[in-house]
Amino acid sequence: MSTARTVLLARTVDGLHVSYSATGIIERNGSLEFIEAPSPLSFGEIAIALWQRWADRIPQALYRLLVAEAGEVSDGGKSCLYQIARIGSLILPHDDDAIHFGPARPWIEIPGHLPLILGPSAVLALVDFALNGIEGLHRQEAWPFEDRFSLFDTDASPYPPQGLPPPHRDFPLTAGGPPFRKLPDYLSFAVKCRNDSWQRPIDALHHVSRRNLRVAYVGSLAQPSVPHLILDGLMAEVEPCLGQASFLTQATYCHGDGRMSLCSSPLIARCHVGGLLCAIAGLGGSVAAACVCDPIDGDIYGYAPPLALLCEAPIELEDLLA
Amino acid sequence: MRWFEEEGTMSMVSLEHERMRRPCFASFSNRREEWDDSSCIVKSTSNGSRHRDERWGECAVGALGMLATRLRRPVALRFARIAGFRRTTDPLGDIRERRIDLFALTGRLTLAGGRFMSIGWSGKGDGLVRFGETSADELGAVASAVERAEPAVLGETPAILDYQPAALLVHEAIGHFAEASASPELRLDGRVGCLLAAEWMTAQDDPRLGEAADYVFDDEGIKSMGPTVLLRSGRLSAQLHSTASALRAGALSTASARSAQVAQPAIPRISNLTVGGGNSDLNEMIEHLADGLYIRQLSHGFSRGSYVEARLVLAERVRNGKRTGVFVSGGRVIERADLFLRACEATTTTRLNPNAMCGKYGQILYDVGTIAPAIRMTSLRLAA
Repeated sequence: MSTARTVLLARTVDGLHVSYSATGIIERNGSLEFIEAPSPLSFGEIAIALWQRWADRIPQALYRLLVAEAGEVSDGGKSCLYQIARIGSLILPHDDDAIHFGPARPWIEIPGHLPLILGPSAVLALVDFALNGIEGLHRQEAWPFEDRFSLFDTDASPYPPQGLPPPHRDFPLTAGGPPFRKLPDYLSFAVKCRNDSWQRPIDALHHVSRRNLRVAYVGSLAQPSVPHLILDGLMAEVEPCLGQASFLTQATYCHGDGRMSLCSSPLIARCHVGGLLCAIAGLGGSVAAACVCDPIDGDIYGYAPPLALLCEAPIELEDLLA
Repeated sequence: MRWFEEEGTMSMVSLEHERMRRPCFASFSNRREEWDDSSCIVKSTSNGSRHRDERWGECAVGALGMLATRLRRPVALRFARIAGFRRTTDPLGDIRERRIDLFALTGRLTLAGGRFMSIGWSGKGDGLVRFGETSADELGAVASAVERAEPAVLGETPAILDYQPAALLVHEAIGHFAEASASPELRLDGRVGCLLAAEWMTAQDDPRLGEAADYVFDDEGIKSMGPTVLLRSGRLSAQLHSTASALRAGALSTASARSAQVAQPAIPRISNLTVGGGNSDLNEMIEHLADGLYIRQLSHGFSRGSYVEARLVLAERVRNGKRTGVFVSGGRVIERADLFLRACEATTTTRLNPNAMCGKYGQILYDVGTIAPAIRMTSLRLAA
């Protein structure tokens, strides 16, 4: 029995030049083989138009972080067209009227002591980091935040090239984990769904047999209407742990009246990871698309809600370029 | 139009939950074409070999099982191998081909108390030769020492970096500092001339050394003309360049353009970084250290700008010029890239770091070699 999967995509990071990818993979008798795929060239104009649409809405200083992509994933006879745009880790909504960016602001001009929110990508990155810091393949240790966060290993993804079509196979990530015989074949998943970066020591780092991560939070709180700061992503600089760690991050200043200003420079976030997870107070809003931009692992998508931090949250922010 | 293609097979065996997964195989054939306007396409083709190295699979299963048994601790391991060919066009349009044959063993050992110890071996060949009794016993000995280690006292201390920690820090502090920027927006050529290490230290990068990296033509088809000398009198004397970074810097490519796979662009990377040995032996250096730390193993090294950092896995206290058998663990070495200005002595012998993995710009290479002596430092900074 064989099933074929093709991933066609066009990606632009400057609105001018396009990187195309056309990958075909077939699974035959337990082995995977790469095969020819159709041309992806028709997606180039869509990606450029998407980039331009967002470029008109964000400050020029942030063009270097803007990525737009369009493509199609066909798997087992099911096809899915998609478009995605993001500024670094901040995944932009499909309804581009929903968001209004003012001029970018240097960190020094952003008021201090603002309420802090971790955006979906920051939550995903933080939970992923903490999970990797305590878990081996054995998962003999309990996830210590089970009363607050439910975690799932899933083959669904908000980014179709990294997900499989429904019906999805999800496993709750709880102490003990699923029985070994039920664990999915990770090589097959990685080759199919880590299309642009699978060819490496699979699980070389910390994503031990994990596919995509879905984070759910138990509890809710209203979105603050006062000015606040959103950390849009966290890029780990150290090995996973529950103790002191540093991350690179990007921030968005929300004025409290619907306007948003992206911080013009990256920040360093220093925090106690376990303390930070305990300092999460909850937030309204459902699970959203999120992306962990890892300098080594590449971009891994998943799902997470935005979450607010208590005002005494153990986190220090500093301008990287200052 | 330039192109770059790769075909071969990835084979993998894993051991998890004390259970072995059967060998998996993925045959690949991918091609990247770059047009003059900087656009590119990566596409899979069906020309690849459909080679399943069943023999390697069987040997790998046996070797992995044996290693896990000898370690006598819960362990999760992945053993992967890529074998095939890379072809690329050089700037004149000629085709350059080279064989790739690389392995990586990665995973985690669970220590008493629930802590982890990362395992990372990688490099050239099928990797099976690394699975001998000696490697397992050495790994087991390190694990036992870490289990009974005390927390490290943080602060500055005189130290000896054993071969592996010296190689790791040399890789981060000298190797990465010498790489030209992969980004056209960032110029790093001002680094040439920076005082980076003690005057007696020598460092060069050579893809033709036949160690972890082993190529004559880089992934842009540029031929390596020999070693690139990186340190002269302790100063950075050259950078490692791709054709694009060399053009921006007004220099020549050093055949250092490397990519993890064809889907990713070739960027300036280290190949085999060699730091020359000194005049001492390890016992003499321990005697000269008098009081301090003999750093046995570091992990998770990384560099950002002019800072380098690594996790202290294991060190042994030295008192009155003698090893004490008292081990410490925990904390991090946090230093500036010029930490080797404080290097005062090194062994005559050098060794290849068994872990040749290096990640940068979302690309992991399995075959980045570092050969270094053990090095005595007048001081080393440990922080939480």
